[in-house]
Amino acid sequence: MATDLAVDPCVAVIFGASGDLARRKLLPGIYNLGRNRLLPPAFGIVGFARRDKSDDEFRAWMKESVEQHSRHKPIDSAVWDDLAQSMVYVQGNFDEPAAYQRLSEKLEQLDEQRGTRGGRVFYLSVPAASVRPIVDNLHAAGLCRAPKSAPEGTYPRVIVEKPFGVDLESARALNRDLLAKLEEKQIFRIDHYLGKETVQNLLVLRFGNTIFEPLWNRDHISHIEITAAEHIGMEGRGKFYEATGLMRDIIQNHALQLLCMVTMEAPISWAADAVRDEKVKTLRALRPIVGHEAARLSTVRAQYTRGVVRGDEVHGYRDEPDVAAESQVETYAALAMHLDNWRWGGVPIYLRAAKRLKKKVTEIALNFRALPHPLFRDVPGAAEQPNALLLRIQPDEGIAMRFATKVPGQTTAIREVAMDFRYGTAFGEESPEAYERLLLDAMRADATLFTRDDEVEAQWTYVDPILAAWRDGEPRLSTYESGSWGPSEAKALLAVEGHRWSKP
Amino acid sequence: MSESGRVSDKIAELERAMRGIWSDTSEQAKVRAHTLNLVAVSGKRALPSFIPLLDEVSANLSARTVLITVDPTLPPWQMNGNVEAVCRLDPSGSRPTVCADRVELELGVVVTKRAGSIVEALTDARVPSVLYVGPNAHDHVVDALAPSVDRLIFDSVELGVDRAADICSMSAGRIEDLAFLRMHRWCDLVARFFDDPDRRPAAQAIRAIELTHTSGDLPGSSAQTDLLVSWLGSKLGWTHRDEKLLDGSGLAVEVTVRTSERQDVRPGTLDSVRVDAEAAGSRVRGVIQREANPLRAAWTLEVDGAPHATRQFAFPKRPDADMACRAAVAQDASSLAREALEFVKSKTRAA
Repeated sequence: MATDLAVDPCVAVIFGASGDLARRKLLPGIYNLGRNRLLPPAFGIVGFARRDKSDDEFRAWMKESVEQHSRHKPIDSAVWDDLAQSMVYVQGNFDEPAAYQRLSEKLEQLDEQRGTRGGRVFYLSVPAASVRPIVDNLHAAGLCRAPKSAPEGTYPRVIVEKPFGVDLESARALNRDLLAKLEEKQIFRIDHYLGKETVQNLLVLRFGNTIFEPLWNRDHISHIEITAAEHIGMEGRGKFYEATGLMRDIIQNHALQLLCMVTMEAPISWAADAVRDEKVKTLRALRPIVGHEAARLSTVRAQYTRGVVRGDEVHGYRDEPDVAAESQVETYAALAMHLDNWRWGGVPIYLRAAKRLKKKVTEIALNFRALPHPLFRDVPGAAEQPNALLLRIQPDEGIAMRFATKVPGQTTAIREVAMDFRYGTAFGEESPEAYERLLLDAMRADATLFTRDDEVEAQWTYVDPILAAWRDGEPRLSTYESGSWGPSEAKALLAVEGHRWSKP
Repeated sequence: MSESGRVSDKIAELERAMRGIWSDTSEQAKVRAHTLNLVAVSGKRALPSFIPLLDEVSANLSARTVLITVDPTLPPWQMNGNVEAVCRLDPSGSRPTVCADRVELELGVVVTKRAGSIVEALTDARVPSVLYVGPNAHDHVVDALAPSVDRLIFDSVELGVDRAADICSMSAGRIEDLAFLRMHRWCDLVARFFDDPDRRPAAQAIRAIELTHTSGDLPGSSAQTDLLVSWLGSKLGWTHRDEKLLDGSGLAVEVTVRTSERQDVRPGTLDSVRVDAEAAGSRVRGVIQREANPLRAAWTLEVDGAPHATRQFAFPKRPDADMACRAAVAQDASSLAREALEFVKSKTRAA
């Protein structure tokens, strides 16, 4: 992971520049980088989209997006004016070769006018079906290689959004097709969870301290819980969800990334491949859940019904627009997982992710083993398993350590307390948005926080057999009320081992 | 469903406002701390006296406070809200200013039943949640919140013991009845009648209790008398049958409750207790009578009609905020109030 923030001159080309992600995250992210003086002086932005727009219209639209969504308001006019000079727009369809010629010409102009010296970052903020045509056309237009005028070692980078396939076979095919036009080091598969400050801090917490790592194993940890809960429902994405489901939307990527970060071995260095090698090793150590019985014993899938979330009555999944009345698509998944390796042998890892739960929270809980001898068994407030380390990814990013203390007084009573560290209050400044960090890393050609081809394939290798069992109806699709913490079957999943879900 | 979005939008607005308070670095440096969520429900008219009490509790315990009232004049699906930080300033300036969030919510009547979902969004699940049922709290809101909190605080003098017992039965969490805490000294003094090992059998043979409480128009003016009898009943294995109170041997225990008109203590407060017991041919009578000085009590014990001991005891003067703080965090004796209220409930069932 790079610590040097210097970025070589470059142009960021955003495909799908009129889209929601560009408007809400990418363009404000670039502005914030500029405001924090993290962009190189020689920098350019090219918006590429189907809609017809002039450069000035694109600038006006981008300004509006930044004004609305930047975390720094009001916008700094000096920063904006500087950035606006470097912005151009290319109208074109993603499969239209002539558009890529226009793009190539604009890039050359920017190299000349802004001194960007052939540095290119292509951000593909587009539907999955458009990825191949764009890469094919970039290749055909010679844009997958650095121009001859570029300094040695410069290479264009292509940032690809998930989904990276819909199963192992399609992921392999996508990797094969991309690698036919690009080298692996040019492909930056983005998982925005990895850009979150707390996720990165997981590595610092584990490998930048001495007190935690000795405890971070089967000898001290009883079980791990990973929760990725959202309170929102489909928000107009019913059609997408019907084709995807929660396993592909959250677990195959975000949740497995979290699992890797919390359970991987220490890499030999912070070089991108050293970190990613360890993640791949972790994914390969996951005990496969293959067959109907294994799926029935180790997985829960469910769909939300109507209920109350954050004070509002909400529809059930099947009442959402574009969702089939008899839909079997999961909006909740829970897995009881095991890592078959020396560090984590025998430690269950429970993972749950869902839509329409009680609140939006992503949290990892490392629950420590029970007391070897319950000295305070009969003391009020005493717990058999009092210790946990809670890693809050969002919101209120931070870390809390839970332990038991004596309540002051003449009698012996115990109360659990938490030593709480919060980013927001400890540093007095907002953490950067995940996309800002990842954009900057791509510009610096640092791929540590991006997903490698073999990592994606290892994720699908684990997930595919579960999805196969689910397609066969094992386990049965359950339901849960919107605004709850999920179906009762998920409780039973932990109860088998005498555990229960923490209240996040 | 047609109103969907309104309340959650308001919650999002409150969350933004809360973040805004803490990300504002223009003011004096402040530390954000909360060791518990204090969810308080109150009637609007009681707010002028209730809010200062809550602020004191919140400042002492570093609690994130969510104060809920109901406004029947609001559109039924509407929720109004406001966020502030309550800070404790160190006059010497040597310690950092410690602040905790305070969220005030005003609910329309339809939203009251969704209070659980609203509060869940605005509290921190990493610390315990305490529900403080204040004066004239709206029943729907309390019913929606009681099942999910870790601890309940209420005052059965304000609520009446039947309602207090109902709320108590909704929650598996700890119960702290302020009326019960306030009469802790009375329980202690009653227990002293039977401290001597020779008189302990008499505790199992109480035949009559006469109690006096100050009058008032609160629903639970007689709550402390009920609680004291129920506390004894739950400890001594008494039962209710056919509107009678029977001891462990099946013999009747006669209970008489009277009211006192004295004005120098709060309404619904115990003023005197007399206990008559008979065991092994010996009659024991214990009397506790609040004196002219309302903070003192005369304690007398008679055996077989003759004075046996006389003492004077002081009632500790504990401000309401201290009592509420204790109720919010105390770890001892919590089951006593629950047992007493369950005993009250058993009376209703028997009737």
